[in-house]
Amino acid sequence: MVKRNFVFLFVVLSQALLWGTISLAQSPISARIALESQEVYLGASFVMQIQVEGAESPDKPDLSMIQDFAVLEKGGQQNSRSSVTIINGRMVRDDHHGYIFSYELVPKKLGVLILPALKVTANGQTVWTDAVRIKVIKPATTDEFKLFMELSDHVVYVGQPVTLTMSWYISKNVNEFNFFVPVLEQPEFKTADLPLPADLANNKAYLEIPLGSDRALGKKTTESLNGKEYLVVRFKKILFPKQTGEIHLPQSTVAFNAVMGLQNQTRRNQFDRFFNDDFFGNSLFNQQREVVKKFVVASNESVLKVKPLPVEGRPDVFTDLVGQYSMQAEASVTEVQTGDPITLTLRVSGPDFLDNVELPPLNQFPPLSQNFKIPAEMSPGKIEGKHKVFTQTIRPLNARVKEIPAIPLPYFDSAKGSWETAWTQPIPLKVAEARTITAKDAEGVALMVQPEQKVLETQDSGIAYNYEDLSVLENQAFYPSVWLRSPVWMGLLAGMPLLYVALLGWTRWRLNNDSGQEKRQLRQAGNVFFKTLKSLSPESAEFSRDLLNALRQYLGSKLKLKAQALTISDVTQPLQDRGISEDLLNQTRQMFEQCEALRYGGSLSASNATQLMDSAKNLVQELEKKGKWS
Amino acid sequence: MKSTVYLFICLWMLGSSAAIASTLTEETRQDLFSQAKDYFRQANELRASSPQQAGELYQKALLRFERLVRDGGIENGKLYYNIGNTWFMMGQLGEAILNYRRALRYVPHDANLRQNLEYARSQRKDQFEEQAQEQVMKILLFWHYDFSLKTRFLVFMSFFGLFWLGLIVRLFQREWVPPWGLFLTSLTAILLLGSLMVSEWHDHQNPAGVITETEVIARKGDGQSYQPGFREPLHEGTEFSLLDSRNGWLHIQLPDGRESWIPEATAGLIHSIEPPVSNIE
Repeated sequence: MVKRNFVFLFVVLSQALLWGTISLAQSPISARIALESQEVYLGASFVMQIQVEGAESPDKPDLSMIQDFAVLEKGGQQNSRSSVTIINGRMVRDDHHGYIFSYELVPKKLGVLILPALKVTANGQTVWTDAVRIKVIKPATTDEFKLFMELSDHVVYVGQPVTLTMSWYISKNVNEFNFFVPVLEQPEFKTADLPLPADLANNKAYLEIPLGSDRALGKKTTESLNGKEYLVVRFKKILFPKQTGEIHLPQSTVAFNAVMGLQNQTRRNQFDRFFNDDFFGNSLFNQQREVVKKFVVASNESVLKVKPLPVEGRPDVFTDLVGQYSMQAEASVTEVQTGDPITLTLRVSGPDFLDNVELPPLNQFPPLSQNFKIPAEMSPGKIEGKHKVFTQTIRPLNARVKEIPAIPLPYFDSAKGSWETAWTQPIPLKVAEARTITAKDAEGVALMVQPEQKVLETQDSGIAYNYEDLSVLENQAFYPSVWLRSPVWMGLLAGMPLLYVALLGWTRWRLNNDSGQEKRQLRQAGNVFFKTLKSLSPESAEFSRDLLNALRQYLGSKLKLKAQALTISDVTQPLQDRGISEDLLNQTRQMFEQCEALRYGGSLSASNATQLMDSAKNLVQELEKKGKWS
Repeated sequence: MKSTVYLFICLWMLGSSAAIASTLTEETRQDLFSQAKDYFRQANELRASSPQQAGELYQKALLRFERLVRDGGIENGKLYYNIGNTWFMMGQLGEAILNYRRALRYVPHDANLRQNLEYARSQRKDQFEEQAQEQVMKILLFWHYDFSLKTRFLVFMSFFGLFWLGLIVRLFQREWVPPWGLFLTSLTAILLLGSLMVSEWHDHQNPAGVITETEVIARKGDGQSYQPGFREPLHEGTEFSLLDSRNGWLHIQLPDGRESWIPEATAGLIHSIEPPVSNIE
């Protein structure tokens, strides 16, 4: 069943294709003119279509016979369709082949004009359209609106940019405007736009203006002309003349509806609205209907004289720069080793329009290419204010390089009328030889054979290898809060402060306890003695007295006796009881006697005092070690 | 003081939702890893001659690497790095940067990771100037930016322990522990604790994210009806901090400080706010 359906479908489609091919080859063609309107205003553009039936790709119609209208081509499109209808098993195929050419026409004079019959050729057949009558009526004239066309220069050289400025002066609220600027479509010119202004994003003064197949950025300002205040919409285009001679720039027009008032409105100052934000807004939400009137305003005409560039003196490398140019160079570093990159920045200044500025390839400039490694590709320039900035990385090839040489920019100076070259200033360089350490250096054979040295450059692009060892499977998940909940870390975190608090409490308790205080004194007696010893001055007259007092204090604390008047006889027995040897006891006795003798019998030199202090320190250290004090 | 207490509570509570269980055996994990390695190698070999086939192999490798994270419960810097590399090879810059950033949490010092991340960042369309203030902070607070969370935590615990040990010793032998020693250990511990708290706070209050869609129209509000926030769409690989999340839209802050809203599905967060419920222990 499915197979039968496929066969049927195949037969139907193949028949349709066959019939279609035959009908396409045999069908006669026809052509007709369709107009947007048969009554148009002088200077206002309207759309004309030439509709061709029976052919999908006709030749372009010959429009040379149209004399009374300026014509702008707006492209074309196929207008083909086909359908297959099956009624009671009988197939009916409807094929339609067609093509539509679109044009924008602007009438040049008043009256009833004839759009002549136009010849259309397709599939080897020629047909004619009917001639059409078009009534051209005069639009309302008023001084409320004006249109001016200005050129920045009237005599230029081929390729020299000329700024075309269109200024539309308005003193009433308008809508549905339509510019017709035939100069932008003239084959004698190539056109371009100026760079977008920096304040475009949030500035309501700018508006986009459709210009046939092109667009322009207009700016709204208010200006005074002949004592009258106008809102001015101004836009600019750059024209590059492609051929020499006198080029006539025909007048441009703008057609629009001007709001003449509001129906049923008592009084209103219309002029106030010109400067409101809804200048081109519609009146959808207005309660009162606007009364509009059609106007067409034409600009002045102009003539541009284009001179040829002289052949004599024309440089070999010329990048179509006409005007007046200068160029500055900057280097990112001026002290390098051979092979190190230097970013060379070239800043070109010149006319208002710099988008078309290209630099001759630097690697074809021998003074530079002989001493520097220069990549073949150069970064595209970037407009920065009134400059176009190019950057290029260069690398000195040897240590003999002393400078980045002056770099030329050949151009034709339109003011002087001669070929000129803008040069950058040379940039002094200090280039050191790069030393490459090789494996042979390590073996000490590098001195015997000097291989060609090359700087190994790191390749910055690309990503590094994957990890393949099992450490990839190790779980590194780490959440501090999880760790803190484990007994070990919790113990560490909370345990130590708790331990400290507990110990602190215990020590405080012991301090406040009498027996504890005694024990503390007993334990710390040595430390107190050493600390006192440190504070004694050997030069002092009271040295021996203070030393003896410190010793008494120590022994008093240790033996739990009153320290003030201790003598050696007071301490001999208690010391023996605590296991102090006879020898150590004798040393203690000698220390007492020495101190007392000195206290009452004479002075002591500083060195002897220090010696005595050392002896006392040794004695107490020994007592601390040997005594059973607890 | 209140905020410190809150942070402690946050640290504590988030711990309960952060542990991810593994549903794979050790053997399965190793098998998956081995397969992923093989597919990745094969894809590399075919990348020049048969890009489509290579793409399919990268996809297979990626599924295995990601399963190790999702089902294997493995949080590993090198694994995220491998995932990032795989995405990069597949031409998905946003996903690559997202996974490199995830890897950075665990292996911030890894030279290959740093290199790959910088290279991926250099390839994205949207470039932002890092604010000078942030650059200075990164130099001054290097321990906060350059050390992993784990390292900072371990060093904090070491200094914390040293501080209390010093205090305890000082109770009995005052002269053994100088006051400046206690001051230095406590200062280090406090700085690292602060760093840990800031990291946790940032991860849960303003988590970082990366745009993973090729182009996203960032808007001025949380809906398609809002005007675009920028003249150009944002592109994949653009990093941001999350300020708010509302009805499937993310309120983001770009590295240069500008803010906007993007659909939630067009970006990924480096640190998930909530781990998948099924994987929570």
